[in-house]
Amino acid sequence: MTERRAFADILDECLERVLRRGETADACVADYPEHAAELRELLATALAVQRATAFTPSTDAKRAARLRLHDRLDRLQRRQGFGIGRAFPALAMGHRLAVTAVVLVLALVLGSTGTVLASSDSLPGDALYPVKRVAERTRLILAVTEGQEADVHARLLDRRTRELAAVTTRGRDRFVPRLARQIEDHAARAGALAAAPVQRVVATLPAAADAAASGAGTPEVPASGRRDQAPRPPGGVQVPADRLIELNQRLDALQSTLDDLQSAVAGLGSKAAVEQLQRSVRRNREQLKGVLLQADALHFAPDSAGELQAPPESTPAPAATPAPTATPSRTPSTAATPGPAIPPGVTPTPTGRSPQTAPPTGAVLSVQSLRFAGDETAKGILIRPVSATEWKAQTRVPGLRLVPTAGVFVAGQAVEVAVLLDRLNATPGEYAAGITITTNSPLGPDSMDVQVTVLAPAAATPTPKPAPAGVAVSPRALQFAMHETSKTFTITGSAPSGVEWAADARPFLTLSANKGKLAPREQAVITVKVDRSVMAPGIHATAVTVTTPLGAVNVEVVVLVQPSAVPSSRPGPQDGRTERDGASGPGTVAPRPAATLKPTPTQRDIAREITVKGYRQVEGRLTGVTLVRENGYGHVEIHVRLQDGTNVVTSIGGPEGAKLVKGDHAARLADLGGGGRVRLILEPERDRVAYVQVMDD
Amino acid sequence: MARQGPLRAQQDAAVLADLYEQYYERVARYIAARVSNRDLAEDLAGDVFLRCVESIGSFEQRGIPMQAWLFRVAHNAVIDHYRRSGRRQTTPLEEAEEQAGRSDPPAEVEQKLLLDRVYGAMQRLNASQQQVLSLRFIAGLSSEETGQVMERTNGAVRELQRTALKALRGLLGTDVDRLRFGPPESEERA
Repeated sequence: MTERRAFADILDECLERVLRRGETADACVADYPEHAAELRELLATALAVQRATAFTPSTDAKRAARLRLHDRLDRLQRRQGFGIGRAFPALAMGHRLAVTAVVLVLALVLGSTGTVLASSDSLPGDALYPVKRVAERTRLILAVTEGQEADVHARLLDRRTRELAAVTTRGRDRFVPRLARQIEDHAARAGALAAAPVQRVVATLPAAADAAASGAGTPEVPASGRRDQAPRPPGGVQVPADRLIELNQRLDALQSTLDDLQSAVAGLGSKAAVEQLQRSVRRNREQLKGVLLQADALHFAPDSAGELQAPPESTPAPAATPAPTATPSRTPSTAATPGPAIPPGVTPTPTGRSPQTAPPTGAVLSVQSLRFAGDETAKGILIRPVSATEWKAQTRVPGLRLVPTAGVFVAGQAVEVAVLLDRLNATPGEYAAGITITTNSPLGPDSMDVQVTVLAPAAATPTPKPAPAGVAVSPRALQFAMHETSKTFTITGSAPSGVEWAADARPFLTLSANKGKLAPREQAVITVKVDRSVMAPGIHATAVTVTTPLGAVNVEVVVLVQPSAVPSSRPGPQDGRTERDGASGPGTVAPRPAATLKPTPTQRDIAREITVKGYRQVEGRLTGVTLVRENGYGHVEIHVRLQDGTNVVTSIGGPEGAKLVKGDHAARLADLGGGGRVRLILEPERDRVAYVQVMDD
Repeated sequence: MARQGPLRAQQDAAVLADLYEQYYERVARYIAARVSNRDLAEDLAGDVFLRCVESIGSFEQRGIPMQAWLFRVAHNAVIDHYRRSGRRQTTPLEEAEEQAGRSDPPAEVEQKLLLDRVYGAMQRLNASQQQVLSLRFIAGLSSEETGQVMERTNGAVRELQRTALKALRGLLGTDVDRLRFGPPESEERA
């Protein structure tokens, strides 16, 4: 028993050292060789527990919870009509003010306003120290803006550092670990809050962000060289980096304090706490340095915001990546080849950026430039994720529309963005950064520009205005986004004596009526349905032609077909294990062979492996998706029923991703509602779905 | 009683605001380990602090450290949640699928599934074993602090922690050793 207890204590010590102080498991195991094997096993298990449950709540959730709490505190105080509110009604306005009152009242209760002031010199263990802490909390609560909050944390960081030095000289070592934790916390918060505005600026300036991102990855980059090359533009980017620079100085001071303290602290726990703090400060400074380099790059990068005002004729930015060590330029100027012209009705063929020229970033694009010939109105860009999970797209080209404009990457699949040109509102010209695709990546936002060239319509090309065909159509263009399947347009008769009409469309479009007769101002509403099951992934641009004896008029139709939304009715490879997709470059997402896109070999392999490990597989024909709904927690629940009567509920989610994921999964499963096969991989002994795999039939 | 008076009430507000700043993330993490749904965990963590507002009186009567009280409230919030939802099996996260296609998809998905297994195995431990692991390794409390939440001695917590880890190890076998523990990413020191 004693021995067992002893082992429990040794284990506890090692857990403390490994999990809380960041030592390696080996270091601790080496101290207790007689328990090496068991210690190693249990430490690995504890690390697994920590890892399996590790997550940082989103900033939004945290802020929302903070607001709810403060709101509740406010209401509670108002409801209870706390004394302060009654005595000083002006102070009852909100708890922030009320808390200020606490300090005032405290001061009164404790004798004089001098008490709070006196408390400011108190140390942990002093009678007045709690007063000081309450005053500090007040300051934090009163800090309304991010900047104010950052400043308060920075000041508290200084204060705690001074206290840390003071408690050791007075032999109050027992307070060291707590102070060290607080310092670490204040440094982290001050850092995050100070970095946020800089990162926001980075995010809004695509080209500079690019330069900055590459600069941040190489801290040894000589900043002076960059300055020589590209002086700060007059009225250039204002980077709110002052706070960061100041914080850096503070951390510098903290580092030297800690160096001094190392020999001064006596207790084992205190030594460990100081060491842990030293590591943390070092990490913190590295991160700060990264952000400062970004700020530096922004200060001295050419004013990329100028592109916004550049005339359409401007050539691609000549020096958008000034950093000498920057990875190969990612602006269109390096490899700008006019995108292949895509005739209507033909899907675009992504050219793909070769891995040699594409640095490993958030995502890669299928094209770097798009060229709209005189009669072209639709193109596509394929975004293939590398490390990013989200993307958004913006355009500065008049008359250009992107569908969709933002989304999340699901299962590492490329996303296609339709680029649609409204000729009526278009201004011919060349737009250096006509489209900007921004993705997130571990390094921060990553932006890529696509050059857009809009050529004037050839003289002979009829304007898209309604032809004098005796009928008018409205709207003149239908665009089917990802999961839209049905739209309508109206034909209005305009010939004085009435007119007969006939409509014709490609096979994947079904029209609710294809001929008729219209008196003047009489209308016919035509529903156009799209059948994606016969379409390859990609963008299909075509038209419904309404013909009359007097002429013809077109309703332009653009249909977007996502690779993942393709139903599995098409024949695919039997085992799906052809090495094709996963390992190859971005250009390999060929839109043509639809069914072979899934399941990817990767998914297959995983499925097999899971089975070996005891995961239960349920394979069956899907007979219906019975429910798709938000479950109230921002997740989407999908209930599916299999042929054998099994009902399975799966939920997909995350507040931001939910909407898009919902569309994708719902479509994928719904397409199978008529009888596709799915494989659901269930965890051992639970009905929890670990994985849904849609299979080829 | 002790809670009378405006001064005390206002101090409570400051203390709770401070408690929130210090502990929100850890509470959310602790709850996430028990409810498996991150959004839900974030919501419930927010609720925990609201409950604290309502029940700060009970804290003062019990005479335990505030941190211990907070995690007891969190523990109760989880239990109440399950009572309300009738332990309905909604399956969380198809993150495995979402993860696929990154740098090394099979390996990453495997890691994710392994972690899911760890999570699943944790749910099969008895209630006190689950609680001790969550408080120690997820909420990041020391064994002494864990003892204050669970109303046990420090020694008893250490022993419970040993048996819990051993039981978990028994359920998982050597699979755990295939987990990679790379450099800390987003997760902070627990």
